[in-house]
Amino acid sequence: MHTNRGFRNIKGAKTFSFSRLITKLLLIFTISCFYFSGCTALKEAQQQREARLKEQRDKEYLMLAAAKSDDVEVTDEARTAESAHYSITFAEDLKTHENFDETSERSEFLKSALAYMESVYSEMNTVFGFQPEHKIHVTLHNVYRGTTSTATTTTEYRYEVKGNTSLKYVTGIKMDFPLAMYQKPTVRVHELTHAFTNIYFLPTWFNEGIAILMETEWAKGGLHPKFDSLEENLKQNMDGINDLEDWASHGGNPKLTQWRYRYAYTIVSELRRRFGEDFYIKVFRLMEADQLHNKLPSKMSTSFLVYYLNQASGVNLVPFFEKLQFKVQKLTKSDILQHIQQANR
Amino acid sequence: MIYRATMIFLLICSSATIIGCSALFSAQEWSENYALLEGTRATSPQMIDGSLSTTGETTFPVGSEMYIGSSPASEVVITFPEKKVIRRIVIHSDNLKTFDVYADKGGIIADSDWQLIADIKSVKTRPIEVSVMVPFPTDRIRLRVLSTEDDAMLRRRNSARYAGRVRVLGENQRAPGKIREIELYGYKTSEQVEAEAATDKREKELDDLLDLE
Repeated sequence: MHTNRGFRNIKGAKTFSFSRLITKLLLIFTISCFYFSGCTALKEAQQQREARLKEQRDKEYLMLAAAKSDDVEVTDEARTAESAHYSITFAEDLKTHENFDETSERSEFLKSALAYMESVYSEMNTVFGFQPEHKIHVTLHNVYRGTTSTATTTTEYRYEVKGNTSLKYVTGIKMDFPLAMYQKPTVRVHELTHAFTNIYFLPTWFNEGIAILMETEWAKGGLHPKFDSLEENLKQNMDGINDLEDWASHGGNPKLTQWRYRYAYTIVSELRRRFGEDFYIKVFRLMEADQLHNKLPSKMSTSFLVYYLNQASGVNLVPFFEKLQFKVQKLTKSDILQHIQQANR
Repeated sequence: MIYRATMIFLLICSSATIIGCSALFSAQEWSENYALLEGTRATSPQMIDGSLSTTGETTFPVGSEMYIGSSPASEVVITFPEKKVIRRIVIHSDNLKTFDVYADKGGIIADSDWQLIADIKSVKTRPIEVSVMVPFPTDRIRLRVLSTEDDAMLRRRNSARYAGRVRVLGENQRAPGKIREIELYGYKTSEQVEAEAATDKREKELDDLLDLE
């Protein structure tokens, strides 16, 4: 009897120590699970914080990766060089410049310039989500159009009739820089933005607004600060319409031109603030998908642009533009198609 | 007993010393050039493209053309995809005279945590080699150009251009630094050294096999 009880006691003790072992193991397992998941969460939080800090710290600089391809061909006694997306040529008036009168000087300059421009091109391709089909032909001048402070980007195109519709085709992109302007990285970014966006035949004010946005907020430079208020800084023409609508070409009253750059940039920046960093990527994607810009008889009107801004934002922006005294109307796609048909009749 | 214990203790001490010394005396190998790592960026990308035939210029701070009377220094900033401990910097430049180098300690407030890691008062050899002892890992390096071989010529040109007239606002008296390449190195980790040795050994074995055939 006694022996049996003792046996039971031993058996009970064994069962007890076994369950204690299991409990211990479970406890260790639970604690280690908590510890490791805690560590992972902590690590993730730390990584997120570091990424945020890095972004904040790089705010002042335009950081560029080195161009992937160093495939540069220098020809014609180093007066011209070509890379994947560009060609650069020295204009006649630069050939006697003291910095470029030797082949080795020109060759080094061209290689370095193309390396930089290819880096910017690649980054801008990421920003916009598209790139122009054609190579960009850059000409460097000492003095361009009688000044050293005007750079231009020209997108050449031709019309071709297909069926009942006249279509616009881009045939080439060229940039002209006086050397003094080329040496400013923000001017290069401004002009390259035009090379990218000109393929959509945008209204001048929007085209310039995007270029100043890129120059200021992406390339961290620019001399055209935003206005504090769009309503208070409005300028109208004699018909009571926002003066930006009259902006067809460069030149003219310098004060008005300065206002136009600043006001256009303020509108473009305000829309990006409201609808997100990728707002214009969405706009250009929609334009690319429709291919209606090629069928327009002239440049895009603001109403046409607003159609795409509405699509990308999901908001009717006609009241916003009306408040700023733009002459706009809410268009549907069939309105646009009808307009194109009418022009081709 | 005491004698045996003392002997064992001495034996342990001497082996520890030998191991320590061998670690100390083994040659440190330079790492790969961090400037060529995928994801590295710079304000002048020509300086990190691995090519000595392209030259990048250091840039002046944004808005510096509006400063009156002062000549701000131009700079180049390089960022790495991950933090690295920098031990040696090699700069290929034809015109740098005096410059300083900063490493970012990575503090919370942007642009307030630069620590001076090298101050070069005169350049004696080209390419310029700078040994640095950065006591912390960093993912951002800034090189600030204080003077170049081209400054004097720039000043001469400016004074000739504005002789007898008022100098244009913001005309900088410092020329930008022209740099072909910046190389940044740390030390190889023991794992990297071992991995490389293993690869070399494997390659040698393969070569031997091929030779036999």
